[in-house]
Amino acid sequence: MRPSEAAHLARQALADGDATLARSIAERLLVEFASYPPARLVRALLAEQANDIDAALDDLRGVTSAEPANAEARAVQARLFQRRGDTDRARVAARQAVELIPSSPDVLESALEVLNVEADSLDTSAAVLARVHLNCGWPDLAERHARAAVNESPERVDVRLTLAEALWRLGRLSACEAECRVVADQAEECVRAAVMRAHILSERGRTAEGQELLDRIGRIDPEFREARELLGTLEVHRLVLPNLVEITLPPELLSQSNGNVEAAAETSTDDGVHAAASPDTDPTPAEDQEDGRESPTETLGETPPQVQPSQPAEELPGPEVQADSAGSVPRSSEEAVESPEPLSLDEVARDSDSRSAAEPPTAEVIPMASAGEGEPVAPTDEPAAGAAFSTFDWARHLIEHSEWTEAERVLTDIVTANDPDVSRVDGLLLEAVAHRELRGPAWKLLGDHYMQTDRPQAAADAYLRAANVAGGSEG
Amino acid sequence: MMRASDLHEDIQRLPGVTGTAVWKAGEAPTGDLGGRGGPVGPGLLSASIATMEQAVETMGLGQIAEIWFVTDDTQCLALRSGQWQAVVVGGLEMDVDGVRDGLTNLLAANDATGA
Repeated sequence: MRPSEAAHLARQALADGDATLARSIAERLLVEFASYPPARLVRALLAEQANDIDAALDDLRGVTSAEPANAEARAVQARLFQRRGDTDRARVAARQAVELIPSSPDVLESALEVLNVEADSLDTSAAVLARVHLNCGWPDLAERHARAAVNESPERVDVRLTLAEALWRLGRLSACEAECRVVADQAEECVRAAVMRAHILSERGRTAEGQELLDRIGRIDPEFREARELLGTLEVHRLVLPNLVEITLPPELLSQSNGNVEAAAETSTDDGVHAAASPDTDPTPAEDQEDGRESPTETLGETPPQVQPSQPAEELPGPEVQADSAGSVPRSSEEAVESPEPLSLDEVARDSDSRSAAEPPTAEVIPMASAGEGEPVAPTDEPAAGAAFSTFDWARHLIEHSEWTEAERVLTDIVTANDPDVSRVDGLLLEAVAHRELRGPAWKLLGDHYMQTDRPQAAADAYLRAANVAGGSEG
Repeated sequence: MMRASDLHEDIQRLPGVTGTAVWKAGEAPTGDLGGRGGPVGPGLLSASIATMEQAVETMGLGQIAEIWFVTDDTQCLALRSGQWQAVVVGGLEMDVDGVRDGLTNLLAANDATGA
């Protein structure tokens, strides 16, 4: 069973009032994929039912980090904030849920209830227009409105993600990359930003790094739904969608589900929870549809796989990506320049041994075509490390591993991106100057950063130190 | 509006100018001082001038529009126009008045197109 099918069962159990079964399935999923958003959402809903607001909010933070545009998670956050008496944050979250254009009436209704307004009295904000235009395949218009929305609400990571995607669809990869970095710094597990960055890396000839990043996404999105959705809009790309995994639920859970297993693969419920990954349908996890996006034709969906225990790896190699009218990403030589790219902290254990597709499943988590014996795709004891995509973490990782040249490039990128979190950049660069090999460039970058942030006196001091380091090394 | 790197190239063409640093408020300086000071040179000179500006503003003397100084072999002129600032260096033969006019026009035109 695919994880999305299991998540659907959990949602169904929750809807049927069987909290025990819902929790069991969610926990089972989270054992294997500790950051899997649909399972965390189920657990958050259970915590909401139990009035454990802190636990629910904690899970929702995880969901919105991976999926900043998950309208349902925002709506639940709004309810919880309201219940806690934090009206301001409740309204902000509810507003966000509405502006994400939820497809589920329940989600919309819940958000409107918090806002205490009728649907027809809502303003059409730039964020909404950006999202609508993006969904309609008009990335140029989406970009215009997304920029306005970012100016209005620079802290809104979902809006910045819309801007990044619009830029990606316009083929403006450098600009997209910069926005993705800001997204990743705010939402470290953001799958969509990571997919775009993986594609950008591959377009710059750093396919192995892009592939590694894409592989790592499987720890959060084991069915690579977002990767399929985004990459499916391209005519060609160089990435190979990793093999899917299946999860085996204990028989007692399956028996408790009363035949809902089949339904999970075929039906969608009234609350917008869609069928998850029937063999011949979109493997979209149920809750993800809440983000209001129309699912474009997916590569996987275009070629329905047979009912097989294994999903063939998908590879669409090609020298160039051409734009299509729906806003697919063109690849221009101008854009395809080398640039440093952050990856996560840990190395991904690549699956080298293939398991026969016909081999009967014996493990709890079965990579559908690969992975060695006893080597689960997502080590459950280190999910957080595997899920981090932060540029800052990547820079620190490079420094720790004495990869000075690459570290300098990543630090340069961070300074060029002009991150709004000034103290965070200060801290990172001050860490870097402690390393002799980076001292000169790091002091210069610190000077640049101080100039960007209108601190000329500190900048002069930093530049002077950089000059002294250069003078010292020459002497 | 031109990018700082393009503006730097235009300023560098002014007669007698041997080095330039240019920057926009909220950005890092870019340029080349004719090899003087190495890669840090443009930043160091710009930051030093910006520090002086900040000090003058803090003292309530207003905003510096222009700074000119001369050493034993170099003249340096720093100008501001709106969001943009530039520092140019040249030899003692550099016609500062002419460079000032040219630089003012370039910065003003760039600032106006970016407004």
